[in-house]
Amino acid sequence: MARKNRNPVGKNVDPEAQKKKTRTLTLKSSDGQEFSISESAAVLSIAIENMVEDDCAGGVIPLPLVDGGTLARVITYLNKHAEDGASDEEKRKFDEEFVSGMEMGVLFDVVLAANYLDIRGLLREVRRRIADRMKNKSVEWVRKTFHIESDFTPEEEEQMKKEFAWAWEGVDSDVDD
Amino acid sequence: MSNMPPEIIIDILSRLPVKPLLRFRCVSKQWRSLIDGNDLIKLHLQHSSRTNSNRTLVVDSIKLFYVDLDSFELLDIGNTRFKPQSVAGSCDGLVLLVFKYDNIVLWNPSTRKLSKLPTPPLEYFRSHSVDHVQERYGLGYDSKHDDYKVVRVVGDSVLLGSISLSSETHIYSLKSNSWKKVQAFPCMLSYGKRWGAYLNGALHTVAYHDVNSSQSIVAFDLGKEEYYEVPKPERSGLNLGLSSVEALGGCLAAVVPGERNSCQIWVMKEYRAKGSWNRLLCFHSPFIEPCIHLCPLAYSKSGEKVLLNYAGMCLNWYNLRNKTVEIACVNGLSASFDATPLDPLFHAEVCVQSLVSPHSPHGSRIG
Repeated sequence: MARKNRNPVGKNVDPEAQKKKTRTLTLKSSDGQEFSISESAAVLSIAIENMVEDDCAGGVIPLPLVDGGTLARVITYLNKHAEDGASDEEKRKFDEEFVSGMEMGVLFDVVLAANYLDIRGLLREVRRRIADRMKNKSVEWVRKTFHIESDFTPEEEEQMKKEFAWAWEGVDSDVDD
Repeated sequence: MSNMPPEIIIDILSRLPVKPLLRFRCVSKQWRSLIDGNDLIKLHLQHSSRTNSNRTLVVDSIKLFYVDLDSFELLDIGNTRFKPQSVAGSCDGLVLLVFKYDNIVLWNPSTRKLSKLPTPPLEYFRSHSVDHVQERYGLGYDSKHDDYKVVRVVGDSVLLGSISLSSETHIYSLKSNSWKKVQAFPCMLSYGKRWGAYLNGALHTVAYHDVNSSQSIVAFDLGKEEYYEVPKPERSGLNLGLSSVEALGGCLAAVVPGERNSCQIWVMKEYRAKGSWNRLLCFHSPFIEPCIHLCPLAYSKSGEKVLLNYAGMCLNWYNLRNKTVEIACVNGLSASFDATPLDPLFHAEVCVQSLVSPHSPHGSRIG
């Protein structure tokens, strides 16, 4: 490769890294949609990297726990973070915008996908965003959003509320943002 | 939506302030046990320390002020009222309050929970005149035993000219809810109620071995319950006189009164490494009197500024880049560079908001 020769001797150019940039993988979502992605972007997911290393890829990687819509979002994230020359500042800005428009339901889907695919940066970003949206919300909002049914009796709940009544001050209305 | 795994929920919860966490205990039994659980308490503390968030300031003046460290907005502590001059230390969100030798309280201002400690042993007071007794208190975390400990040293007052080293040290463990006697403090006590810096599982203070010796930084390891010495800052072979040691941004900081009205803050970047002491800043008091009561409290979130308590009269931000000082106002607290009083007028303690309980798991067993 001509490209390789242009590098001074002694400076390591990982031919493997070059290959990863050009090699593409196909990811298949739970609802059967297929997405092409460069290997270098895909392996930002530790889970996919392990699958590739174990060579169980065989062309198409099935991801039965991630639906097409969510996978498309995850791939957008991976592509940005694998982009050549994208500065940390640029990536940070991208992350901020990437999650800011997402509804809670979408954030949940993405956090589960990031957890399953083991994408640390994305996982951190989405968890932070979820916490941020929750902090001024009511108990009822949290139950509804997380699909949790209360298993306390009304008396128990009243008692617990009494203990920290001041923690109920300044709560936002339950309108989703 | 499928069920969220508990490890994701616990991570999300660790990023929330204390107030919503107390509210969300009501969500379900699972959430309550997660929020009350040791894992979340620890994770929450780690997250706060990593991101420099949930930091508050407890200002012990004519009354108690509880302030958000970033915004300087006053925070509510409910109906709790304390006598002034009682804050003796803080660690992981717990504040140690000492009202009288037998009235010691642990308080978590962010959960508004407080618990009175059992009465400490009082033999020393029986054999010594109470007027001559010096007390010193400190609070810290013993990671070896996952326990919060209060250390109390009582001894003769140096100010009265006594050179007696006789003193007693007792240590209270929150886990066992009891006091026990440990090896006596090996140095002379100087005036002051507080130990000084809690850092790396140890309490630190400035002390003298005897009346003729120079100062040392003495530390007490809360896990091993042993004393050790920490090297102090030196400049070209000269020992610098210290007025106190404090914890600043995870490092030990020494307050070094300089010539005339100046005062320097030195920071030991690498714990116990003598060569890692570096001068952080030099503060010039607006008065001609020597400046000895200067206490570094915390870095600003960006790390550009250091919050200083000047003589208990005035909180101010020292800008490390352009070396300027601006007054940090707490609503209701008078703050001015007025004539230097002999003793600090208020004490300020940095305190993280946490879920750590001031109650002992053996609360019913007193003794």
